[in-house]
Amino acid sequence: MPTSTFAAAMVDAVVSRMHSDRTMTLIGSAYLLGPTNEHPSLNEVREKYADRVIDEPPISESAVAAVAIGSAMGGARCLAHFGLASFAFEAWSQFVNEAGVAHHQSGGQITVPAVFTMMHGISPIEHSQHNRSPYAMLANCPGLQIVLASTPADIKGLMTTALAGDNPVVVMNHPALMPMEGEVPDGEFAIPFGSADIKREGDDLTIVATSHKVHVALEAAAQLAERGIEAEVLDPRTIVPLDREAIVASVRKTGRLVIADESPRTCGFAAEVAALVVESAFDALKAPVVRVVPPDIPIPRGSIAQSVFRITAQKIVDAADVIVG
Amino acid sequence: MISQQQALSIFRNMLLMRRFEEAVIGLWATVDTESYRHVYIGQEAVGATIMALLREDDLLVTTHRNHGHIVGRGADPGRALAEILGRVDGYNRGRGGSSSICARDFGFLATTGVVGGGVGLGTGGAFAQKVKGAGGVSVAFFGDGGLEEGIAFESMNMAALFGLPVLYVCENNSVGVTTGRANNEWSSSSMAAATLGDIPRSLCIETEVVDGADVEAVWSAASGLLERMRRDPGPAFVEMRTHRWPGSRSFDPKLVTGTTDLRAIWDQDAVQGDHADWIDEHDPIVLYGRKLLESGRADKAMFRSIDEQVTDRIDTARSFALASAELEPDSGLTGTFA
Repeated sequence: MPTSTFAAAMVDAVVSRMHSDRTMTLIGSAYLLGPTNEHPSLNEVREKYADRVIDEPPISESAVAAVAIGSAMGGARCLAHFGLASFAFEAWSQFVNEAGVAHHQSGGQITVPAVFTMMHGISPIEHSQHNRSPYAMLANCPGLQIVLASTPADIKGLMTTALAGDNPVVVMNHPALMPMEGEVPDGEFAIPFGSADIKREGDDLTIVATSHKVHVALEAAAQLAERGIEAEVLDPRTIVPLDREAIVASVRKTGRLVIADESPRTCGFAAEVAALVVESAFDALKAPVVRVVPPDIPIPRGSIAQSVFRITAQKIVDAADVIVG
Repeated sequence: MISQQQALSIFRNMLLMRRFEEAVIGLWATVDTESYRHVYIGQEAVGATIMALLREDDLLVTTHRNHGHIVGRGADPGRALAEILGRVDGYNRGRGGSSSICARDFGFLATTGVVGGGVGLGTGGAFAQKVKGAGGVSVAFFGDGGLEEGIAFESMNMAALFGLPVLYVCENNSVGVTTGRANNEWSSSSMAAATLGDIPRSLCIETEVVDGADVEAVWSAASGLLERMRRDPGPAFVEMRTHRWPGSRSFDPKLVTGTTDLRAIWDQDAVQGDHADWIDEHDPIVLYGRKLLESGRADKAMFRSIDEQVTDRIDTARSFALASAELEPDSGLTGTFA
C-alpha cells in the first residue's frame, strides 16, 4: 500500500472532491496546511478553480463560516479552513446556531454540506488564547458532526465521507499529525462516521484516545506491554456520531478504562465517555474510570509551564498502574 | 416600468400578506398557541415588489419577520399558518413556528431568527449563485437591527471583495418609532452612523435609500440594482424605510388599525380610529391602491374582486391549518442529521 503524510492524505481527499464536484467551493485554502502550505495538488486546485476558491479571506471568521454555510445551503458544498480552532471561536454562532440547527429546524428542508477544518492542541509557541481543543464545546451543540482523525488513512477516509455527505462537519486536526507518515489506500476511499477503530488490541484495560493522543496512547501501551499489561487502544475517529457500542464492548472485555484526551476536564469529551461507560457497563468495571486530560486552567505559553497540561505516555502509564493490579 | 398586470399582481400580493397577518393575529386570540410572532404589516410594498422582480432560481434569506416574504414568494399560506400553529403540515413540520418558517422549494435557503445571521448566509448564497454562473442572485432580507451585529459588516466586506451577487434589503421599520421599550416596543436602529447606508458605503458597496411604502420607488431602485447584479456580479444595499405599524409587538401584536378596509383607498371617511394617521399616510396598501385608482389602472370593483379572492384563499389556509394535526411528543426527535 502506498504511504503518505497526514497532510497529503487530507489534501488528496479535498482535491479529489474539487475535481469531481464542479460547484464545490473552498475558502481559506491558503492556510489549509499551516503557514507553509506547500502542496502541489492543492496549489493546482487553487489556481485551476480560482472562481470557486476564496484563497485568502479577510480576518472575518464569522463571515467565512456564514459564507460557507450559505454556499452549502444554496447548493454549492463548501470547505472552509479557519487556521487555529481558537480563531473559529469568532464563528461559533454560525456553527452552532445556523449550521447545526438548520436541517432539523426546517423539518429537513435545508441541508448544510459544509466542512470546517481547523487545528487544535497545545504548542510551546502559543499562549492561552490559542492552546485550545474545543471540540467538546461543539459536541455540546447538537447538529454538528465532529471528526478527530489520528492517521493518514483515517483523515483521507473521514474527509472523503465529510465531503460526500449532507451535514455540517467540523474537522479538528493536531499540528503534530501533519508530517506523520502512514499507509493510505489509493483512490476513492471512505470511512463511515461513528465507526471507532481499535488501534491496538488488548485484554487488560481500554484506553480511549483521540487525535494525536492516539499515538501517545500507543506509546503508553507499548511500555505497559513490556510489563505484561495488554492495553486496548480505541480511537473513536468521530466524536459525533460516537461509536458507543465499540467503547462499551471494549470495556466489557477489559473491565478497565483510561481516557486520554486534550479537551478540558469539566464537560470534556472524556467526561462523556466516562458517563457512557458508567451508564452502560457499570457491572463490567473492575476499577474506577481514569481521565488523563488537562485541568480546567488556561494553558500558558512555553514547554516548561505546559508540561503539567500535556497528555504524555508516562501519565497514561501512571493512570493504568493505578487501576491495573 | 411596472406593467398593468405586474401592478395588480403586486397589489394582490401585498393584500395577501396583510390578510395573512390578520389571520395570524386572529388565530392567536382564538386558538391556544405558544410562542411569539413578528408580523409584516406596513412593509408589504417592499416584499411584494422585490418578489415581482425575482426569478425562480434566485435564492432568498429571511428572518424572524418572514411571513410576508414566505407567502409573497408563492409558498402555501395554509402550510405557513400550520407552521405558526405548530401543526404537522407546517413547512418545518411544526418545529420552527412563526420565526423560522422556511420554504426551500421556493428558493429560501434559510430562515434565521438570529439577528444579522441572514446577512452572512445570504452572502454565502450569492457565492453559490456565482459558482453556478446562471445569473441567479441572492436576496438577504433583514431589519435595521441586523446591521448592529458584526456579522453584517464582515459579510458585506466579503461580498464586496469577491464580487458576490447579493442584494441586501435592509427593511428599516423603525421610522417613526416613539413608544420605546417600556411598551414592549423595540426601537432598533441603535446605530451611531448618520445613515444605515454609511456602513455598506464605507465598503464601496452601491447603496440606495428608498421609501419602503412606495411600490414604484422600491421597483425603481431594486430593478436597477438586480439588473446590474445579474450582468456584473457584486453586492448592493438598499435601505427600505417604513413607518412602524402601531400594532407591532412581537409578543402581542394587536390589530390597532383594525382589519384593513380597502374603502380607505377611495373613501376618506373609511380612514378611522386612533391610528387613522398611519393608515392615511403610511399604509402601503392604501397608498398603492390610491395610485392605481388615480392612474386608472384599477377601480373599486377590481379591488373588491381581488380582496374576495385573497380573503377566500386565506380562509382556506386557515381551515387547512386548523384541521392539521397537533404534533406527537416524539416528533422532534428525528432528523438532526440529513
